[in-house]
Amino acid sequence: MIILVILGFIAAGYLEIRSWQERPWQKVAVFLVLMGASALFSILLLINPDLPVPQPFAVIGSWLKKLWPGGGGS
Amino acid sequence: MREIVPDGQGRFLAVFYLVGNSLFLALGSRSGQDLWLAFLLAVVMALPLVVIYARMRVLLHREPLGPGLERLVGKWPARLAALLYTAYAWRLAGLVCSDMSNFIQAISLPTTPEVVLAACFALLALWGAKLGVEALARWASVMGKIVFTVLFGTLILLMTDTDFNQFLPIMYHGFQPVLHGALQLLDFPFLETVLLFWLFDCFQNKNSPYKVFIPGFLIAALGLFIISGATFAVLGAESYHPNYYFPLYSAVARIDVATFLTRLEAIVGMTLATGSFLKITVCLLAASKALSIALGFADYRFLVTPLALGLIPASQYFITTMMEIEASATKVYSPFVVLVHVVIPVFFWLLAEVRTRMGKGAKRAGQA
Repeated sequence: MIILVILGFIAAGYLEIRSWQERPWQKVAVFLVLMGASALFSILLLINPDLPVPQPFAVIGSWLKKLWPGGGGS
Repeated sequence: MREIVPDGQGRFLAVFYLVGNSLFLALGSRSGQDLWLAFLLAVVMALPLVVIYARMRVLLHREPLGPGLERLVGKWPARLAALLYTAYAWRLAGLVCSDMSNFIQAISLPTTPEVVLAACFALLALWGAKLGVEALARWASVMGKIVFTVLFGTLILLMTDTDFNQFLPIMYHGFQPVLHGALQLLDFPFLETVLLFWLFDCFQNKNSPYKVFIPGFLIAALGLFIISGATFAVLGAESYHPNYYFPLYSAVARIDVATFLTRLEAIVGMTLATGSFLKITVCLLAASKALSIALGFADYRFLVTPLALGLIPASQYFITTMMEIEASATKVYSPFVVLVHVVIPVFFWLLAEVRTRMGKGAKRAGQA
């Protein structure tokens, strides 16, 4: 499955870049980095479906919960 | 290339985006029988912020979003904010994708893997986003008429099963549930209007943002209020609850006109799927545009494909079950959402007003 996902991303990336009229290196680099990140994200989820979601605002959320217990949560 | 959306089509897009997937969740359910009061309070609380979003666009003076924002608030604050809104829009698209794939799996395709349904929506949104906001607004103005006609027809038929005594007694549990319901509505879907700020590149004239954002928000709020109210009047407070899934769908399933007109929930399901597609596409488009501003590119289209493909795993990541979907859509506050809905727009608006006035003052002094 992982190989299939990688092949899918390579095919989508190749077709997309081929369809561009101009290929400045900055655009190509950003595109490849983002495609790589998306592929990596898909593979990580395939390996571990319970991958934890980062909670950068969890501290503020728990502080708000203490401040107003009836208000629900983040 | 500048993409200019006519005001009428922009309004349709705003209404359709806000209604989007909202109706298949129990909006403002924490307020119980005081749902109508929660709606009124939420509209009163949201309107000033929607005016601020529109005012920010007016201050851009028909400049494209990226350069205009950099002129108003400075290069790096604009880019940092764009990066934050990219994350917000992309996450929201992932959540809507997850909602929709769960909904379809629960009601009609129980053996189809969710990821397949999410992939269909993500690829359709990729296509829509590649066509740009002009095509999307035209599509919204055509499909919106069909969807709103269906919803209006459903509303008329729902009237046969409504019991308005469900709204009584008024404020039996005090003001707290009303406030909870109103905050719930602000979080989802009212203040999601903020993404429209990042969606449109240019408007027809200087005051167009007011003509798109404010009526768009008010019409959507009125529509959601009427349909949620009717659903509540059919189901009652015990069933219009976060733990009771797809309230509108369940309410419409009860429609039975002389045993002839029944099973209308499939039509409502299709309208909800259409609205969700539009919402995912708007979020994807806003994420692509905001990311292009953050990275300093004039074109956004080359960013659509990786962001859209990333939506497929994202729909299986942020939220996985129906219970989590309901919990996320019916929460009262979330620090991240408060930051993107309230704190940053208000801060940028104040900064932009001060800079604009100082610029005008300097111009006048120069002329004198």
